[in-house]
Amino acid sequence: MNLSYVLLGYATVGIARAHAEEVLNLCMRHGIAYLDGGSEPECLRLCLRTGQARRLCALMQQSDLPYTVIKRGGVPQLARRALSRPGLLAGALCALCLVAASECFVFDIRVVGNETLTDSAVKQMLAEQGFGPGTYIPSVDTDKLENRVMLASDKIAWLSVNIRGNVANVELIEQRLPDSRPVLRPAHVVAERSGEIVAVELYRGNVLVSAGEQVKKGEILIAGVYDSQATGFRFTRASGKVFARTVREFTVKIPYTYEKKEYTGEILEKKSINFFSFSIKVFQSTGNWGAVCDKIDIVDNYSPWAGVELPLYLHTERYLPYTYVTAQRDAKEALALAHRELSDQIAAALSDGELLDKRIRTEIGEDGVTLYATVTCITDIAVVQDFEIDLKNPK
Amino acid sequence: MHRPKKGDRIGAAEWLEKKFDISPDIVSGIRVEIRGQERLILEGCRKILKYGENEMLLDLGKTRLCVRGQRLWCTSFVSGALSVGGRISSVSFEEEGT
Repeated sequence: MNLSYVLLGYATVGIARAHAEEVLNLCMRHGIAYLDGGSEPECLRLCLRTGQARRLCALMQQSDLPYTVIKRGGVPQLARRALSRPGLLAGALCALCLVAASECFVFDIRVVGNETLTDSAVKQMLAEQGFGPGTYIPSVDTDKLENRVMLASDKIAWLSVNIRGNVANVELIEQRLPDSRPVLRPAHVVAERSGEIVAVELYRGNVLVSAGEQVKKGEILIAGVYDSQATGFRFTRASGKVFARTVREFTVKIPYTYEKKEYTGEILEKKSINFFSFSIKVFQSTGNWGAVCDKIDIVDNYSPWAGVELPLYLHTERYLPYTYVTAQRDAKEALALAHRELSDQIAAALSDGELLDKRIRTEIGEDGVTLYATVTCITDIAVVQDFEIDLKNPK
Repeated sequence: MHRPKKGDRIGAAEWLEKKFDISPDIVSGIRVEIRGQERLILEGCRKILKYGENEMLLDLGKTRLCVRGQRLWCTSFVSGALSVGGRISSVSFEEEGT
């Protein structure tokens, strides 16, 4: 099919083969050009531009030649069909307007550089400052936004917001100082538990202990006070790590009878479509909504092409109702569970320490298994403790 | 001077064509081109006299052109230029009245 025929519109006219020479001679005499419209043995099909088809039909009518218009097509025909459907036209216009308007709104936020903070946490911080999907881009002052976020959060050391198209690229560096809290009040570092000092890592303050020294729980390790003959007392917020050899006790008891969570098997769902910050509920399943449930949030983003995300989300809230039922476990199972629980407790308590010795005593009773562990380890026993200053009588 | 007989006389156009060695299609305005066995292009056609699937008779003014074949189809006919598609088996000129 010739492109001009498609653009300007065309019609296929069917003529009986008996009248073919008359019709073709008419075409020639009046300069009417045509293409083969897929002729059959008994029927000649001429494909003509709309205007020329109209002329030929009029000429054939004048000459009493029978014909049939088999098909009309092309862009004008499509446009005519579209105009006869106002809903379709309105939809197309709305789509065009939305596409034009969408260039002014933030579609997606991409966060890079975060290590401990999650993407959603950073997006939440930005949302608290009025920036998120759907924000009108011309109204965004990125410099002010960056400053506001950094002031509001002590977890972000530096933040940059670059808006490219509809996507806001947020780059950040997290705060890495060991104690980023501002020194507002003086404090001592005291011993969290008794032990033998192994090493001291001082950040600030006046160290009062040395390696090999025995300390008791609550004893000051690093003082927040300096005494000077020249300037008198000076206060600071003491900070540091004090590693000590300590003995710690852990007890884990696993009963044979316990309460187990059992799902009812029912799945309840609520579905909503989120467009920017607008949410429309589209579905809610029927069922026992009053029951105790586990909730799973599933957010599916509509992405027409790879790498392109539109601010259109299908948010599914899935609820799994459950009840607690009484269950029994045997001694072997309880013992294995107790060991696992004990290992977890020790690992959590000695996350920054070193394990030197571990002694475990097992007690299998009538109602459960109990493990008693005595652990010798080197851990940081330093804990900051604020103190008040009597400004009227500082001495 | 030898004067040709009435039956041997030639027209002015033919005389010019022979005298100045002009290509006959320029003088008569008739040009036939056959491309393979599936396409015939004819310039100078005045009218389609007969249009059939196996035979087409075309009026060229002084003479007629008869195209025979199978599934013959006039693909275009504009300003005297005619194009015939289909399986062409023979092309012959026929004088009026034959």
